[in-house]
Amino acid sequence: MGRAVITLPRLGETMEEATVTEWLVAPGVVFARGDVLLEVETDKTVVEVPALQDGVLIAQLVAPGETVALDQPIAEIESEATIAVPAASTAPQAGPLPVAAASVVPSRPPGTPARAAASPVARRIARMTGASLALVPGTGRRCRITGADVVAFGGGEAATVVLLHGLFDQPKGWRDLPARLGRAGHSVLVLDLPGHGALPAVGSIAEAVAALLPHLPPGPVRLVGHSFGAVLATGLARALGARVERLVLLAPAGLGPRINADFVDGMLRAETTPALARALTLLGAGPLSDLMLQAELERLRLCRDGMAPMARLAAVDGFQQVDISADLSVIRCPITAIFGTSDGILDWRDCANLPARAAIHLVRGAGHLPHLAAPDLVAGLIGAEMSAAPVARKG
Amino acid sequence: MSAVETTYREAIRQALLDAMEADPDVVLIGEEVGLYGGAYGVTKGLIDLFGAHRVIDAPISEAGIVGVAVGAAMTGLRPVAELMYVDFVGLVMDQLANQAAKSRYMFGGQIGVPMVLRTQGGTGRSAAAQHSQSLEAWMLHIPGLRLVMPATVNDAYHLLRAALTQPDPVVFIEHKGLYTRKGMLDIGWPDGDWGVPVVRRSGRDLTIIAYSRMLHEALAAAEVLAGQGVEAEVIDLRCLNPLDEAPLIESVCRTGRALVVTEAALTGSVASEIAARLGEACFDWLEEPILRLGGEDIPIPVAPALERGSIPDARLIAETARWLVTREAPQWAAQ
Amino acid sequence: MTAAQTTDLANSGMLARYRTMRRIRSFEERVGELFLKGESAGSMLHLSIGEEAVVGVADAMDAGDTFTTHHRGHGVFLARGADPARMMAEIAGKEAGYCRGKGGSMHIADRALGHLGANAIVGGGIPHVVGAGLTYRNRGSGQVSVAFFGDGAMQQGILYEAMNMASLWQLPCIFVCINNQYGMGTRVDRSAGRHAFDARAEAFGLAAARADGTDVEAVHDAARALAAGAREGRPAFLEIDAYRFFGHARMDKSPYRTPEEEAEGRARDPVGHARAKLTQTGLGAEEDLARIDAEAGAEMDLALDFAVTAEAPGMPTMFEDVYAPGTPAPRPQAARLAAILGEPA
Repeated sequence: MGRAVITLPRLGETMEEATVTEWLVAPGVVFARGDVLLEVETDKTVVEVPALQDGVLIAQLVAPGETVALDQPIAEIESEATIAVPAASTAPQAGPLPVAAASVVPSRPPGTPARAAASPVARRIARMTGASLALVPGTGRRCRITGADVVAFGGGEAATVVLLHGLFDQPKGWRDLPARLGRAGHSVLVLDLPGHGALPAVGSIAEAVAALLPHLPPGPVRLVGHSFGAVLATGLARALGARVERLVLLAPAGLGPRINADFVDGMLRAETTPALARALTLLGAGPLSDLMLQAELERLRLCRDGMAPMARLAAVDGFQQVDISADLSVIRCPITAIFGTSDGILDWRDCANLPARAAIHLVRGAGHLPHLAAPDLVAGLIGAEMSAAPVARKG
Repeated sequence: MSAVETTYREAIRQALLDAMEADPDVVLIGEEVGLYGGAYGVTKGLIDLFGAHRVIDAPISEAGIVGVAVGAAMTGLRPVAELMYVDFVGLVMDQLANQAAKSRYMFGGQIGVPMVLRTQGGTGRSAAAQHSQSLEAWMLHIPGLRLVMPATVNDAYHLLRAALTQPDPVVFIEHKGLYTRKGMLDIGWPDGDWGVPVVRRSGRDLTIIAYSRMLHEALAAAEVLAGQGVEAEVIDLRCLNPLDEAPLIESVCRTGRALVVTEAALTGSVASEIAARLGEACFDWLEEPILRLGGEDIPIPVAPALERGSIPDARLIAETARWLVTREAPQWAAQ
Repeated sequence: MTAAQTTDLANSGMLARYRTMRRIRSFEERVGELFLKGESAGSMLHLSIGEEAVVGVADAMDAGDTFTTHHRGHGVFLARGADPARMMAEIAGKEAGYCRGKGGSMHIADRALGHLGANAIVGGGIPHVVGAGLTYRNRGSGQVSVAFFGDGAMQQGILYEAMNMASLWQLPCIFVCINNQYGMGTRVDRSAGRHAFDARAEAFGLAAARADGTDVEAVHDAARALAAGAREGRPAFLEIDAYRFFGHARMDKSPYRTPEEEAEGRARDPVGHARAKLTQTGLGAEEDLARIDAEAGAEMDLALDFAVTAEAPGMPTMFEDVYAPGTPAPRPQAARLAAILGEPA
């Protein structure tokens, strides 16, 4: 606390002096910023003189009826203010305080550091991750804190989004979802299922989880799994514990008894493009060109040896072989599940077996690939609570 | 159909020729478009092919030319009015801004004005203050007008053909410095959709947005920058209205830095508008303020050196981009 | 066709023209009432009372002919078949109006009736008629396009560019100057060094004529002759000598002219003149004329009621018709701001 003197501020364009009409705060009274201390009459009108900070009025230096010139002392106060009110000894060189300006500038609690110079992207990362910009050294232009500075300081540990595709699928099957998430500021890791090309086939779900774990990045992750990939994502979520920010399940397997055997068998056995087309139709995606079917058939032929054992982990003769509901009930992170109500592979009504706290989204009319049917929704749910993604629109 | 090498001028002429062959309602009207063949030779020979009722030499009455085109468009023709220099647009502003642009709206959607106003602008020929301007911002400010400024040979053809299918008035601004520019024309393959900017070069460090002749300066700058380790993405706006901002926003959010280039006097320019929109849309993704680079805020001087010095070129773009990305100031910045 | 039959047709035409002029007079009076009731969209209401003889030109046009008008064009449009209720609704800024409440009194148009648009820029719509003429010439369609404008436009450059091009290309166009003596508050002798307007048109190579705006039949005769020539590629100019009974817009009290002048001008009343002529010649019995007058008044009362009770346009229509449907439309500011400032979902 320190003593200070309040001087008569300029209250009008042409004002040079004012006459005190009334004091509204008596000596010894505590006042708050914005309280009216006194009223004065200028050449134009009666004006209120508000306090610019909290304090206690020590003495009224001008009595009602007395006239006082601009910048001359009118009161002595005690306050914590570190700025603004010049002490009597320094009054001459200090300019008058513009009352209007003081009334619109929001107050900053004492001890708050000045606002750091930081690029908007640095501010966004800090906001996302809770980093304090005040502590980050800026290496940018004019010592501005850059996005890289925040990340280097450890504040940029945003979660990596990990995508796990379904049986018979491939990383390319996510289409532009990884790119979209990347544009929205996420790091994205797209994994290939064991037995589907990149990783060898394994004999159990646990082995599959163990095979995938070394590929995950350090730090927080958001796990996104489609169909059988959702089973593996659930396994990973159990293994990673608190590092998992969110589990997103797209048309997940492992929640009910049945699965469409025509699809599984068709994918494993199709030797001609019409046969493959029949199986793929069940996914509920659009028709494929002959060229694309041919390529897909070629890929399946190369990978079937690995896919077949993985498929057996999921389903035998139209019955699912795995149940993830128990695992889900012990996972702590938020769980989001998305189903298409026209799913031709799994029954969307199996969603009833999800834990009660899971958020369930139903995409009316979508098939087994809800992320292709409702890309905005899925990207939004994966990225939710990040800062708003850039707005794309048709001009 | 395979691509052939031709010039910007030839591509526009070909577009007019093909459009006129395809649709007997397409007529050209303007000063010197017939016997003279166009002040820049764009309509050369068309009067011989289509006759004086479809390639109409008009008196020096710019407002009248555009007004006649408006009436012809209202009643079923597809006129292409030619304004010899965009600098003359002051003479036609009522017909363009109050008549062509607003008729559909004022008349409750009943009467559209499907006309194209072809004109050309820009510096490079020491044509001085009244024949060298870039006045696209005047047009961009008027709701109801579409605005197109092709930079490439292929766009010159395809955007003009597309303009001639639009139900609303299109101002099609060519650049006098591009007429002799060579490039590939593929009649079966446009550079991109109507209203959608095209990424002409990919890069990760900054996004340079340009249109018309400045695109080529920006691409040349990007080449120089690449040699210095700075990867610039260069986007060609092509159409200023309609303008799908999504590709611009996507790019700037990725690179975090943007430089918008125009040949026009900078104040109140298209670059200013684009910069403002990107500042709003990309705020959280920016590492630096969005920069604008444009013509100096002066009338265009006739002296070649002064004219050149008053508008951006590849060197200025490259040095500014480098300053923006690497913080290495160019020499002129020391002054 | 015998001479007697021709006279009969002309006579029935005279009665029809009287009826149209009376309807215009009543309509314009109701427009004044619409304003006084506070139901008009704005006060930019320019009444054509005193200029009803323009019916003589409208009657000389064919069904497929097109026209543009100036901002004082209610009468022309009514004479070309407009529905007064939809006109009045437009003047009241209602969705049911000819232009969905976006144009108003000064920008009425109707494609179906060949009205290419009323224009509030003096002379602005004149070259459109030349463009229409170009279309008709190129298509050999036999249509004519007519520009209606006031004496104010006689001092605008665009008129002369348009007349020159119509003459140069021999287009089927007619330029009709309704000279009501005033461009806003400036009388024609204070705005033109020489106001022999037909001589100006003649200098451009147009077939030019003047007609007394007190006498709709004189106007009609002149217009018919000019229209026949225009249809064959001889563009024409017609000046109708009239008097603007009231001020420039609804609120203008005409302080720039004397009561004596107004009294003299209003004596040249084309509606009264036609009525007297019909009575004198025995072509219209007083009771028939009275019935026509009453019917016109009743019709316009209905139009007024329709306009007052019609729905205002919905806010989203604001963004419609800037561009053609199916092409990118303007983005409402609220959507833009929400995209920038809105919290992420």
